[in-house]
Amino acid sequence: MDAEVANASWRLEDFVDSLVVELDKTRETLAVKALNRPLSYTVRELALDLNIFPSYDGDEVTFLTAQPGQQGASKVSIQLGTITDQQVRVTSKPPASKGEVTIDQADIDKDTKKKLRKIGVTNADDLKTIERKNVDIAQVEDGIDYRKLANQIEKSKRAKSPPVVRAASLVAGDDDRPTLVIAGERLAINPRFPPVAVIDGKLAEVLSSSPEEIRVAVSHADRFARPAELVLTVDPFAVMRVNLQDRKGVQ
Amino acid sequence: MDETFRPLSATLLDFAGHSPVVGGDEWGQRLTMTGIEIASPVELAVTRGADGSLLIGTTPPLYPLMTSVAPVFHNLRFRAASEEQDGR
Repeated sequence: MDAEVANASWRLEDFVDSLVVELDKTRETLAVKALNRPLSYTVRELALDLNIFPSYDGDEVTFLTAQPGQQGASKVSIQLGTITDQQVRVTSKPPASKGEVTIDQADIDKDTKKKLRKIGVTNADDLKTIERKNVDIAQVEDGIDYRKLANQIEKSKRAKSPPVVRAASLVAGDDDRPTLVIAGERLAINPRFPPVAVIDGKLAEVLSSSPEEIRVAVSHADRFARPAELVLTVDPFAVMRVNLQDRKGVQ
Repeated sequence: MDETFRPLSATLLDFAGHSPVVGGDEWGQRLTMTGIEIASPVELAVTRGADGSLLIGTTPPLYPLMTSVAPVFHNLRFRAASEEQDGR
């Protein structure tokens, strides 16, 4: 079965992407050719005047290429020209860094995503830039709450790199104070939110925290002789429940 | 993609894939084409591949005669310059 769709409707963005791919293939082949032939051509401009039928479904505009026998099509012109490396650097956003959450990946409703794309926001950094410049985006796009959005993106980011507990041990801390040491990865990664620990419903003091380790003060050394539940809120988007029992208590 | 059509890059390579140097010994002189500009009506087939990507197929006008079903011609403009002309 042929999975190819004949005369597919397309978004302008998809069409330009395909056009760029075709142009790149041409350039690459010409560049290889230039290795053997010292004199060759470089593509300077490519333009297409298309006969199309646009349609709008309330969400996005798509186009259908006019087929033989069809009349009354609209015209759209697309021109691709060459620009210098420097122009590319000035006009392009740097690619998303590792671990960066884009708007598409964030747990945000479709409507808000659409509004954000309209104002050129594609990732969390764009939102931070807007905040730094003290712009009230609710004024630009109705119904967008910066704080709520930043939290949703932060939540999605945290979901991509959740905290991991590797080990829990009870040690004698300063002044021989019994201390519970939780070791792991990506534990307390946000300095703005110090972790909060609750053991069997009672607030416990967090002595120190880092991405690899959290130290919690324990009231007495026999605290975990019986099973206990530790609820560790390492930041507003990561809450862990750990059941603890001293091995001596298990035996 | 219908076999009548071929990828746009193949058409563009045909436009710019030859040597800019013309002439030679029998002519007694050599000329260098410093640029090419082509404007041509084309027929287009825009299909979607199995991976969801758009494939742009082109062909020059297929029939030199009037046909009962009128073809739709799109316009393609292409400009290339020799690398020498580019100052490289």
